[in-house]
Amino acid sequence: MDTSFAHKIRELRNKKGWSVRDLATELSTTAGYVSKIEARGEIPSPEMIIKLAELLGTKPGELIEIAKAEKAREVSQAVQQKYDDGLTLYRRSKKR
Amino acid sequence: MYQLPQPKAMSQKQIVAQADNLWKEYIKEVGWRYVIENGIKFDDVHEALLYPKYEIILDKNEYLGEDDCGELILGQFLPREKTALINKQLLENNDPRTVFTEWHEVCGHGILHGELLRKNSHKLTRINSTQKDIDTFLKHFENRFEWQANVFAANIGAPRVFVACMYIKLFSMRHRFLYRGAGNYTLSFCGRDFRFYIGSLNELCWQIGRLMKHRFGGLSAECLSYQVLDAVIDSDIERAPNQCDFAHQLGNVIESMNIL
Repeated sequence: MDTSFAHKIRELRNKKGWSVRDLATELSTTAGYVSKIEARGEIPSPEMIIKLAELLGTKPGELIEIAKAEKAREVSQAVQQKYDDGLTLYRRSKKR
Repeated sequence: MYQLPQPKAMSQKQIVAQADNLWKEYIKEVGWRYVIENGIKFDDVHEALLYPKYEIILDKNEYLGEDDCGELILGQFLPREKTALINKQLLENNDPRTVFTEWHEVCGHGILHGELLRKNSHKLTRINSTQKDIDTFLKHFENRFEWQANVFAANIGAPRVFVACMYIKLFSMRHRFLYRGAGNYTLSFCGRDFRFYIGSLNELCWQIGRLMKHRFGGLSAECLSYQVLDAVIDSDIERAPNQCDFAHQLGNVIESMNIL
């Protein structure tokens, strides 16, 4: 099951029967910005998350928790990547 | 095994007209100036038009492996989920086929065939695209489904009018390029002269496509060469001197934007 922030927003918006453009109008932003959140997985600012929760009829706390978990996942992946890159470099230098 | 549904027959002209309409909508969203200055990037078009209008999701995080014939699956479209998948392996290897596969899955299968595929989604859960499918560019009699997706994708990713605009801008040309047969050609690109031996018409198109591809979000030179051939090349020596319509129409578009 997809537990991402993007998926949650898409699900709530569909439940409301809104299109991407409808949500953008309600948020006073562009459809491109909503695309960034739903299709590119961008996490918006806390203020925007609260606004989204109010509009989509959910608790802000729930959305913030999902956003936090996703950010933590991203950071952990980035750290893991750096560690792997470092290890590869170290092994290469050892071979020489 | 369930057979692919047959899409209704469409001529190349009809597909290009559909692609042009979508392209005009994109221009309406972002403006000509933005496109001329930044080129065409898949992510920009997806964000500004394709996702808001069609809600097709693009996922590049999965390894898709190979099909039953052992061919690498480049992309996949899931009609029920309205999701296009691009093989992560392509991205990791900086494969030049990546960008066209994105256009092919999202626009070709997701938009052009979207409705037909969703109607059949109870039987057909996914569509794979391999190199063989991408190669059906000129062979519409072999696989109508993939051919339509390819033509539509190419005309969204590199519309002829934009190819012609970029040709005027980058090569400082005011007329179509005249192919006079195999021989040495000099291409003046961004103020620098490049001298090539060109062996065939296809090779000329490929060279022009290669030089322009950075304005098309990394679309491969091979894919661009089809559009270059249609948009800016003339191989008819008799007719070429009368091709002033091209310069007149497109030159006016560019000049009125005051960008060159």
